[in-house]
Amino acid sequence: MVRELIVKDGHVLGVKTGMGLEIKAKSVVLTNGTFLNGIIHIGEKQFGGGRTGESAAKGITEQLISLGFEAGRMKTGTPPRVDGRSLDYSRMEIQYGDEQPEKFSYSDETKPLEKQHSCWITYTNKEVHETLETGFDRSPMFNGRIQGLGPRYCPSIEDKINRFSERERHQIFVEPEGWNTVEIYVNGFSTSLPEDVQYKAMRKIAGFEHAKMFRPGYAIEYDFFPPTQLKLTLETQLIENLYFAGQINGTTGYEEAASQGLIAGINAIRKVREEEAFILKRSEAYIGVLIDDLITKGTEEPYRMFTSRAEFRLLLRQDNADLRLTEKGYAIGLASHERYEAMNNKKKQTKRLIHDLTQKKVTPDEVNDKLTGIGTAEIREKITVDKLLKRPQLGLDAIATLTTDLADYLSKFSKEVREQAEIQVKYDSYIEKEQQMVEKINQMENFKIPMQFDYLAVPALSAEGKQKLHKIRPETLGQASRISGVSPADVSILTVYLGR
Amino acid sequence: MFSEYDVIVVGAGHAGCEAAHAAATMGGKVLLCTMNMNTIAQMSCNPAMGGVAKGQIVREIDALGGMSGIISDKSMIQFRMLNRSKGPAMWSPRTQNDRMRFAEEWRLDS
Repeated sequence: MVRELIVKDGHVLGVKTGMGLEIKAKSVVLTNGTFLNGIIHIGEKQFGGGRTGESAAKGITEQLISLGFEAGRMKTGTPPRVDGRSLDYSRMEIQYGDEQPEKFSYSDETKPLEKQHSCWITYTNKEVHETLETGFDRSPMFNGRIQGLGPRYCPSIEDKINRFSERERHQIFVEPEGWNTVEIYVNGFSTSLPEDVQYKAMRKIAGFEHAKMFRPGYAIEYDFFPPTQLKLTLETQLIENLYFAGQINGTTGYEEAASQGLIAGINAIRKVREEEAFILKRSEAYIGVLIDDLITKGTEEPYRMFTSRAEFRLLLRQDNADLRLTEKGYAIGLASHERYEAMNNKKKQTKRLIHDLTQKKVTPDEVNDKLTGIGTAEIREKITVDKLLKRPQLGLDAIATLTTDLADYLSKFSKEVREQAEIQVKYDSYIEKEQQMVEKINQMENFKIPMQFDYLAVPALSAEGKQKLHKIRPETLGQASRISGVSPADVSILTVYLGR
Repeated sequence: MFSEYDVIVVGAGHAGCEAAHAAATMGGKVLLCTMNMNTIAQMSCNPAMGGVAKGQIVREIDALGGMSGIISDKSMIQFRMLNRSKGPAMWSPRTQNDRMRFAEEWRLDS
């Protein structure tokens, strides 16, 4: 177990293990999750631990504080796990997977599922709530034993009852933990109430009358380091070549953690090789939004991603992440050549299809009967197919039914290319508007501020602006403008000062 | 063991595994330190990946050459595209996953 970092003259040089072994490295990425001084709470019981059954990590926080880092405390929690064989699914709503399931990866390495597992939905009720309330006096949340702030959007059941007392029921998602296990995850029932109360209350949920509990829910408190102490590469400002990623930065969620790990890993190796920093802009990726938010605004409570955090969400879609990012991944030696080729091919095919749709024309005689059948207005004169595609009632699948010629032509393109072309044609004007905004904003985003710039020596800056800029050390004018407490006037002054 | 590594990653959760995989794929000498080899890449909370905005992040990781998308695909037991009835900016892929296989795929694949 890593107990300590080897640090000299503001550089990290490796790690020291619990057994005293020193391992040298040019850079270190810390991704300690909930393990730093982790404390698990179940009712009045509390014990050190990073996850259930695993011990906490001690020493690293204390060392980082002695090196000048600011640390804080956060909390998260997890629900009980139950035996699926003890549940009555006939009392719940079944939730099937998609009829035509897709998948995450753009590569051919994986395939969509042919057979899927179902989940179920059930609800708490008044009786469940009343039973839970009998444990509130022994709740570590309500009697002040837990001090860390928990995730606002993933609250414990006792929090939900407390905050939304007018609600008579809360949704519970019953999620199997795998193909060959009877273990069930009771999503929506996260709790740190005493075990006996959890058990009694749970058994009052519809379908859970005879539930057997494998392990109780718990809350866990852990150390984090306010992420304003980092650069956009996730390297710390204080110690060179030391990087932080995941919950240690105050985020919650696997995806948020994984994406930070990716960016930290990329930048750690690039810096060792003296290559340029790899930073994604807010207009390029949700990952860019996530990291810019953390570094620029910090976070007081566990940070999770939402579409509303992105100002350019029409550009940051799940269908075009490859078109946005694979070239960048390929350029740094991470994405494979095949992936790069596949992305280029998709891009070319999409372009060709969109072009052809603006050339191909249909006449009223050919298509009006079909259009009426679909429930959309007839056409009066010959028009190009892209105009038809802009109608809300028509997708490319419907367009393929209009003429055999169109059906033949469209069948030459993959599902992904058709979907991409359809989205780009339908949302053309909105996408263009967002792109124009990005270009405007990029003038500020591309305007770099030297890391050593002395804000305190600029008398015209507001007192608060000066202080915040000095602390956060924005890397661009765009980033500076997003810091709370930095006024538009401060930004203009900076612009002049930096010799715009 | 090397006498000096390019990158040491401390912790083998979702962040640590992606960091180590990326640095190693890019040709670095990488050491991933964990307290317990048997509990790397745990889904310590819900057995699911993606969802609103998070699904977009998994797609982005995959597009850059990260592993979370592939691992999720290989261990999924259910797939749903959330918000299909809304515009494409809101479509969000989400998988329900086999928790044991998820961790196992990370151990074997990368």
